[in-house]
Amino acid sequence: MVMKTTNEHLVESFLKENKEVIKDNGFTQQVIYCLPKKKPSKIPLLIVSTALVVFAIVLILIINYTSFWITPLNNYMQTITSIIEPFFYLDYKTIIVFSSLLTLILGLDLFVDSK
Amino acid sequence: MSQLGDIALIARVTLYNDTEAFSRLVIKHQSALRRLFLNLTNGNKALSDDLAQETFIKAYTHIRQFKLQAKFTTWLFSIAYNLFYDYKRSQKKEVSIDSSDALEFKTSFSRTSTLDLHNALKILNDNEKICITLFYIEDLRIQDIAKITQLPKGTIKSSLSRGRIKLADYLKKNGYENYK
Repeated sequence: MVMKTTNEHLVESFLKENKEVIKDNGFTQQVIYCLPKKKPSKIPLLIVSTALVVFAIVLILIINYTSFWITPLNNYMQTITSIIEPFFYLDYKTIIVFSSLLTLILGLDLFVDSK
Repeated sequence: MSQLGDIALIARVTLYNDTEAFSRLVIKHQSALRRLFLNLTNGNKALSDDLAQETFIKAYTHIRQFKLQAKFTTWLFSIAYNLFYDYKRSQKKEVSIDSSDALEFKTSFSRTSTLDLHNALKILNDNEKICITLFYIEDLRIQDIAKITQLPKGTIKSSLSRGRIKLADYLKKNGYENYK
């Protein structure tokens, strides 16, 4: 146990006694008003895109290597569409990226089918 | 728990630039930060509010540099500390108060007025002032103060010791012991 000196006690009690809680009084509003405008982060978009690509790859593998092979193209299209539909509002770039991905995935799928 | 709450809010600011989440961080930490600046600027309210505002804006624009290992308060205070020293440098006025002169001045001044925290802190130099404020008023540990100020622990301990002696001397001379 550390013994506190008289000086330490004196200083500590004086400073604790004078510790004030400062009321906001519009300070936060002023700070928020002065914040610089930032461009929306691309991280959520990247996460969603990566998750979709991984999911699509997993789906292709499942469809091609399991016995649940019933109208795969339709099922596959429906699944992918239902997943990406909520994200279409993001912007035109997203739609182009996803359309390209979808085309690539479908091409791969057809290629595997033809073999 | 409080730290977890901060992390959740920081995540929202980082991912979505969520100003609502940031305003909650400001509400939570404004008192401590403004109090720190008030103590460093000897009670200059307008200046301390300006510096606190600048600190929050800097924290918002650099929030991706925040490391989860540190406490948000420690990170915020380190921005505040750097901003304060930038401000001091920009003023180019080295107000290095010789402690004995200040003590003498304070003694004669304070006999006729009540004891005031900001007047008491005026007798300390900047290093002593920041160490005393962070340690005794903001209840930070020496290792946290070291992270904020980038000073070696030994320097912080000696600043605390010197500041404590000066303050105790000042309080005794002004009859603080008799108030209690």
